[in-house]
Amino acid sequence: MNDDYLWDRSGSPDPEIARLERMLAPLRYRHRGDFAGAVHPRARWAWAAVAAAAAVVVAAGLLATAIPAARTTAWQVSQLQGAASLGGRQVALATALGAGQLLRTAGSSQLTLESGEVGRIDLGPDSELRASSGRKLMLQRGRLHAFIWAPPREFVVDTPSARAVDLGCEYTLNVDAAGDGLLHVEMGWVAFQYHNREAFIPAGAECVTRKRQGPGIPFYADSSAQFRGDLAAWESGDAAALPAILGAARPRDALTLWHLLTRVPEDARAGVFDRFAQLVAVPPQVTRTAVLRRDGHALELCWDALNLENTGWWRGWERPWK
Amino acid sequence: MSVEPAEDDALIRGAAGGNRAAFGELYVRYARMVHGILLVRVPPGDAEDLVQEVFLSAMRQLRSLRTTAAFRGWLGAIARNRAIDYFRNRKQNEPLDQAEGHAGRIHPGAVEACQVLDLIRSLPEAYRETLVLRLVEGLTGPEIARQTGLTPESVRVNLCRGMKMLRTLLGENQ
Repeated sequence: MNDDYLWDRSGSPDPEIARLERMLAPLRYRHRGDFAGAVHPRARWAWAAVAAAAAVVVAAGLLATAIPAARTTAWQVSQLQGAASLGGRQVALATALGAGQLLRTAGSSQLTLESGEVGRIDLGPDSELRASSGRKLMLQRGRLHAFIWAPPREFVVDTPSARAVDLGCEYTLNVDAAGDGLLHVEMGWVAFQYHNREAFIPAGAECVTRKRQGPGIPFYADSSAQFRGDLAAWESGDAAALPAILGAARPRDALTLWHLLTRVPEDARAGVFDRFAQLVAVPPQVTRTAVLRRDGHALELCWDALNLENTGWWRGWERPWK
Repeated sequence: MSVEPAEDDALIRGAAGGNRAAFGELYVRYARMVHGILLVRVPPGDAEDLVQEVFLSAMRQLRSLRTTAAFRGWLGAIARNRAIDYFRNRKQNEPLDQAEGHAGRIHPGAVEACQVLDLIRSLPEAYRETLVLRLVEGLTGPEIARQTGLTPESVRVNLCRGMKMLRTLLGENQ
């Protein structure tokens, strides 16, 4: 028995160890956020009591201004620089975000929202955010930085062109005036969804989303400008850009190639897979034929071969190509 | 995940000096090690909550750490102590008939994983943590050695012997 795979995953995968790794993946640790969410339950209660007291004081002050009645969410303004409005009224510290109300920051302003059970959100200048509920927000325009400690898949941010599903992470989402967006993941994972299109974006990677098209192909932020440019060209319909993408791909860009496997036309799939297999140690049970017909199990094994961290959540994902 | 020890040391010094971002980075780097140590001892559904408590405790005590070299072993010790506290508190706070067999909050799809975890937990102590760090948390042998402070030789021996015993148990349970 060769123990190289057990030691450092080099050499041929030991089938039994690989099976155990897959089986045990749901138990693997997934990052949920930083210490803002690491407060001991007792301390959390104490914080909640302080926050509630502060809210009562501020609410008394707000009675005079009487923000229109709206079902409030757990999101409250915890920091404010400059000016912001909620439902057309001026925002103050401890203002609660009401469902359906539009929160708008001024050109040079920014604010922080906190929800004890969900996480923390920094809303950048000239941004518009609307809450459907405590766990579902809509970023219509601007920049949102999220630090989420709610369990994976419970918190989503909709944009005009895609839905960002938190998978236990920290990320920044930008939406321009046209409704197109750019997501950058700093920690953990985010899934981008639009109809039957999905993209899985790990820490260090980015993904563009376009109105009426949904999420594009994720790429690592440290990839070359040429690689990203070619990817953008391919996504805008230039099929001739594909060979340049494949040629410039580094081993970690196999993430991009894996997503391409699920998106390219059938006649281009072989080229993508061949390059993928050069960059990643594809398990021996994955056949080229199976990948070319987009066999769900083969694609899953290719995903496993990416050897990305903390992807236990992926086992329960929709994965529309299956 | 490749982590340079010197880079870690700088983070440890920064965190001890009150640099929250440095501590956050240590959290990212060591959370799986802490989780693996906890997972050997407490129900899977509760291990993730305890990870955050371990780091919170470490953050409070980090200034008392004399050398950066001690950080890895020290953090592991906090995790093991927290697991002991977990059961101590449970015994104090729960009726006796509920204190055993508590599965914690686990995903229904993880039942099979928990069965394998139970087999790993039945192995000799020296092999449990190493195998969980390798098979569950996905750390390689060199990463386990770096993060736990064990020598690479010890980790390799633990992995090989532990895996051999686990294969036997899996064969018996099929």
